[in-house]
Amino acid sequence: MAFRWRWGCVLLVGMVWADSDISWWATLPCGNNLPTQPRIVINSHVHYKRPLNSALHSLVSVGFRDFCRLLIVVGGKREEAPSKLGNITVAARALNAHDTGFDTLHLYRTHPDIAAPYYIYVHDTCLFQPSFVPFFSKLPELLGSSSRTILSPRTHL
Amino acid sequence: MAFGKDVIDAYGTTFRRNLTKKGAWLVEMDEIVKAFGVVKTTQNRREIGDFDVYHTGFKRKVFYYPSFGVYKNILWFRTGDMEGVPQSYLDR
Repeated sequence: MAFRWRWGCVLLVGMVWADSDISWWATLPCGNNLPTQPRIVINSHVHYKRPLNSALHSLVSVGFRDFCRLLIVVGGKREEAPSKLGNITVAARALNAHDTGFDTLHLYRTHPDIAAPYYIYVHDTCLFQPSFVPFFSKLPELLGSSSRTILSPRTHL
Repeated sequence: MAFGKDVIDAYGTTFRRNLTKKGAWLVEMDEIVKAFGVVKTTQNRREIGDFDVYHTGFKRKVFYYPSFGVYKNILWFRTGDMEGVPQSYLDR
C-alpha cells in the first residue's frame, strides 16, 4: 500500500503543468449534476492561477467527470460575482481571507449552482489521486445522516 | 475537509473578514469550522517530501491525505513563491 501512494505521488508531482491558460476548463463535462451529490470547493486566490490549473489537470487525470459539482472560489479579486466557465462555477470575491471559500458558501448558500447537501473543501495547492473519485461518490455515506457532521484529518487540509 | 450543509448555517458570517496567510495560520480557520459541527476524524496526513511542485524554484512540503485521496503542497511558513518573492511570514 505504501508503495502505491508513494508512486502515485511521484506521478502526480511529475505532471504538474506550468501553464496558466484556463480556456480548456470550458470543455470539461457536466456529469450527473444530481442535487444529492456533494460539491467540491477549491479555495483559491487571484495570484494562484498556476496551482489552480494544476489542481484541475489532476482532477481530470484521475477520471473525475462531475464538473457541474465544482465550485472555484477566487479571493482577492476586484469584483464580487459568481459566474460560469463552461460547467464550472467560479465565485470571484473581493474578500481576501485565505480561506475565502468558507464565507462564500454562506454568502451564496441558496444559489442554485452553489447549494448542496455536502461539500468537500480543499485548497488550490491540492492535487488529486485516483481514490478521490470513489471518495466523492461515497461522501454522503461517510458523513452519515446528520448534516452537521464534519469529516476532517487531525491536521489542516 | 468535508461537511454537511448545516455547518454553513452554523458558522454564518464568522469568516467574513480579510486575513493574511499568517493570520490564517494563527487562527487555524479549519479548527474554528470544527467548532460548528460534529467532527469525525479521519486518517492523518503523511509527509511525502519536499519538491518544487510548481517550478517556481522553491520547494513545498508535499503531504498525502489518504482518506480523501488528495495531496497538498505547502509552502512551509512562507508566502509569495507564486509572485517570485517568497518570505517568511513568521517574522512579519
